[in-house]
Amino acid sequence: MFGQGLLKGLSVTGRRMLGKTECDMYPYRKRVLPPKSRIFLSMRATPDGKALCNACLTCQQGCPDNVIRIEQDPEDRKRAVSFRVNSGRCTFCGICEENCPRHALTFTQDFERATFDKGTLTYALIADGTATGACVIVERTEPEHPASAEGGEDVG
Amino acid sequence: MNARIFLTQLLGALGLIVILGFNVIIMDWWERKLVGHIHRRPGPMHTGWHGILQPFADMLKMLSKEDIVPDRADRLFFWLGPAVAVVPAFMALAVLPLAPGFALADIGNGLFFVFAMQTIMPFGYTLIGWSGHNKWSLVGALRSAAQLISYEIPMLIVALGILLAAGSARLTDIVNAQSTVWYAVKQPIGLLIFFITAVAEMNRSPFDMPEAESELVAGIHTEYAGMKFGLVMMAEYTAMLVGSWMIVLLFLGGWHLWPLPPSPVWLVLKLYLVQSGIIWLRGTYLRLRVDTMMEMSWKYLIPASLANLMLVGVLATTFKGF
Amino acid sequence: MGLIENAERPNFILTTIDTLLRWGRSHSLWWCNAGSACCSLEFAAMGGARYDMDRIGSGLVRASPRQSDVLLIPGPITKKMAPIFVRVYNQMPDPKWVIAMGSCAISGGAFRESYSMTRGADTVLPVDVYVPGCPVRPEALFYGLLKLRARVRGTSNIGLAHREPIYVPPDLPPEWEAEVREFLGEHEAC
Ligand code: SF4
Ligand code: SF4
Ligand code: SF4
Repeated sequence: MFGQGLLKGLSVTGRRMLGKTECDMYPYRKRVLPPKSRIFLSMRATPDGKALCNACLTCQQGCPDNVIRIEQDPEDRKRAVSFRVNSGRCTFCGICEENCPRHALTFTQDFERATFDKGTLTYALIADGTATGACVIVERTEPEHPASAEGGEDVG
Repeated sequence: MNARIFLTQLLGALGLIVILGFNVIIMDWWERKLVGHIHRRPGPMHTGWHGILQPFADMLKMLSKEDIVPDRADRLFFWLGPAVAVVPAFMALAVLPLAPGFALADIGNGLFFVFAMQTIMPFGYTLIGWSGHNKWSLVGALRSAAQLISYEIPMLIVALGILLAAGSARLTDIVNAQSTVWYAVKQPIGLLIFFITAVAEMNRSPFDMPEAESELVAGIHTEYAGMKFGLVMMAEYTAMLVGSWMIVLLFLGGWHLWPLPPSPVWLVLKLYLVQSGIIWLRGTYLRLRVDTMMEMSWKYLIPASLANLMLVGVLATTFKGF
Repeated sequence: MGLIENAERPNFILTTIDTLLRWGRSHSLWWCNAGSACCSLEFAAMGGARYDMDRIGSGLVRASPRQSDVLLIPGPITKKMAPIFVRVYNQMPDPKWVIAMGSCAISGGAFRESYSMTRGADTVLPVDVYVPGCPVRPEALFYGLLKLRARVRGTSNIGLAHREPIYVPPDLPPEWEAEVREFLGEHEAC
């Protein structure tokens, strides 16, 4: 019949109009993000401020956008003096995390990084040889890939 | 003129302005809420109770915006455009009765007066669109003129059917003729056509050709900034008020809700129900293409309205008191 | 409102009006979406029912820059497009704000090395809020909007000098600047 579709459309929107709203109410309620969301790079570090990174520069060389800047300790090449991330350039591709042989890099789920000042988007994970507050503290010194902890295959 | 009459008229006019502002504020908020709920989202929430103060926030912002008049715009008509769009709607409000005989001017030719005023509105829209010196707004203005003119014809023919049945062009008489059975029941085809054409006359979605955001940047008011844009919005909401008031008076029995006693409360209730229905349509349907829209008026609505007029004529001569 | 912005020093009436204005402006930030790349889709997601930006009164995405308050730059600005962004920015009425969304708008992101890209929106426009991400999560953009809102709410307008009527980006390559000025001179109708 002519006009059936029009009436059906009205009935659909009418039911929606009277039904419950399904809004996330963002600032008050936050959704649990999917486990593999890649938001903002972080580093695993032990409680005494020792980062797991051994300054192999794999992540710096593999990064397509020159996000990571590592400064090696000239005496001990296996120790990073500073590790800076310019997240204003990062495309969150995850190459650095996958390639890291020590599984030192990890992604946090903290997305609230909007800022008035572009400079604050560059943050240090290691400064003066010690891990900064931006790091994720883990208990063990020897890292373990999250996948292997769950019995999966260790791709590292 | 008698001083007392003059004073009452003045007070009435001021009252109308208050009604107008109140209606714009209420409808702005209600539209955003209702469309939000159609999308299953709550709409404005943070300004007062359920965002009731949202229109005031918008108004404050618009008032304090920089007032841009484009260099090559026609300054006089750029200012005049919104006024020409608002004033006829306002004048039409003057003859629309709220209760039996309770109108600013309950004139004998009220029906024709309202339509005459509605005919001026496309002129205002054309001025708005033309004066901005912008091709999009000009296209919007021409579309608006074409649309309003072609939808006026079936609207008037349907109104003739009402005139035939009621035997008077006084709006109070037309409403009183529906004290038991509404014309919506007696002339359902007429109601359908009148509703469609009224929505088209208000430039509301799905007939919002003049403000087709996907085609013409923002349609006729592309160049309007700040409070002048607010005035254009006000003109649109006022046109919506006049259109739905006419629907309620001509077809939905005005202040009558048989068997309950007549009261202006019913009229206001019906008025806002009709306006909510129009918002519901906006939340449901897609915008028509411009040629399909013109086709709809000239090919279908005008013949249908003529047939409706003929049917009403036959019935009115056959049955007494139809 | 030149009255508030040009006032020499605050008094009781001005501060009251200013408080009202700040309340109104912060609750009614309308968008102008200059959808230049993929982040624009996340903006569309934010406008949808799940994140509903109409809750805080910013639900209207006006197609015309004349009626909007916030210019959103969701993606890279090519050198060819940059004069047009400047033009759109100049067409918006004061007061106006700019949000740079995504790595591309902050620094050029994935296209940073390209010959045809500007390195960030701040080389072209005065950006207020930077929202990092690629793409930005809708919530992250919402957070950026809330930040901007807090700034609009918290910044007094009294004595705030007006911006230049026509904004011309400060450090541009010479040939490009000529293009901007020519474009503005010929077509700008502010
Ligand atoms: S996620 Fe990609 S772009 Fe970001 S730092 Fe890692 S490798 Fe570089
Ligand atoms: S973070 Fe990983 S890949 Fe990068 S330098 Fe340190 S150990 Fe090497
Ligand atoms: S930041 Fe990423 S998602 Fe956003 S525009 Fe650039 S490439 Fe696209």
